[in-house]
Amino acid sequence: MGDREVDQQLVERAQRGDKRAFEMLVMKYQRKLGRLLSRLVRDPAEVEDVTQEAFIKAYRALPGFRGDSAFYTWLYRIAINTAKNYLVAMGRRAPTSTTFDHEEAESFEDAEGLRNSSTPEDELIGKQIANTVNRAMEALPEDLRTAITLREIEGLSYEEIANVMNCPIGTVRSRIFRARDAIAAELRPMLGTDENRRW
Amino acid sequence: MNEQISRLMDGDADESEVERVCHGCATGPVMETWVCYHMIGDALRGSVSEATSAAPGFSQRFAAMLAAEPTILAPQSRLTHRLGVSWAIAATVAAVAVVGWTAVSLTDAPTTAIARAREAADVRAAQLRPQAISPDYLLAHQEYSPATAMQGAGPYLRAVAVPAGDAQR
Repeated sequence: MGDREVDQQLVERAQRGDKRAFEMLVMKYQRKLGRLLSRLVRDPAEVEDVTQEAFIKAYRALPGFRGDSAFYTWLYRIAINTAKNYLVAMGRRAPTSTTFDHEEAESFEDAEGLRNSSTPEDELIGKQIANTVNRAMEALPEDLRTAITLREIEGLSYEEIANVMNCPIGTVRSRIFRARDAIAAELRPMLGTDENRRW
Repeated sequence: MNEQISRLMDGDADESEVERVCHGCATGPVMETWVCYHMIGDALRGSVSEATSAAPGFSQRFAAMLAAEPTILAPQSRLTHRLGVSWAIAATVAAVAVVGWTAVSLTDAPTTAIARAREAADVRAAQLRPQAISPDYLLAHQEYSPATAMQGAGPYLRAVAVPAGDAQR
């Protein structure tokens, strides 16, 4: 099951009235969406407002989402339209439709050429997070490191990883979880406390 | 719970596990783990700026906004929708099959039903053909004619020949 199917599971739960399922989707995509919108709306406070508005619009439109496209592609369109409407309402020039092609939604991971509006503080924290994750990865046993690399970077399924590593799927499942948990233990202090969450 | 979150991220969780994780996300630590595991993935893929562009406290502010929204209920799930579409397609195919079969049956008919219908029409036409019947015959059997104005009285009526002089009297 791929990322799209996982999202669809959560979407269907949200469509049946489970708001927490939708919150999980929001938490999964808010950074990606925030980064996208920061290309259109520069001010960080405005980016947050537009991001929230886009998610709320998506929630209201959720009954009409049938899964014909990936959830993020659908969300991307809503976010772009929300940002354009916001800019027009603020008397600013909205980008033309060709500036943000819908197909771009699927390949948005590529950061090359993007104008980043993150603050120096954001960049510093970003580097700290990257360093923390990399250090935690280096400290992992070889089998755990390989398993999570094949999953997160190469995007292989459990079955494919089991074939590559020549071990049962249950072992792959366990290795990936243990790797995530070990890295998360190092990362959690950087996410702030309940009173000052960085997420 | 953390292992279930990991499995859910990878599409390896069944419906009951998805439900448990969603239910658990009502508490901060479970949602934090969900965010943290995704952030690890972002960082490993080199999307460092993505990992940091979330505004602090976003989740709490958004949760408050979402709580104010009426709960949506869309009973027609994707599966139900697909089943509905499947039934519609099946019904259409069945209807086309019935209409097609009927049309084909009629097309094959000339040798049987249509031919018989033609024969019957010919027979009927032959029966209706006017024939030369002698007036004496008709006069003799007038009492049995259904066209007689006094039906039922036919057998008791007799045709009588009257001389022309008596008739004028």
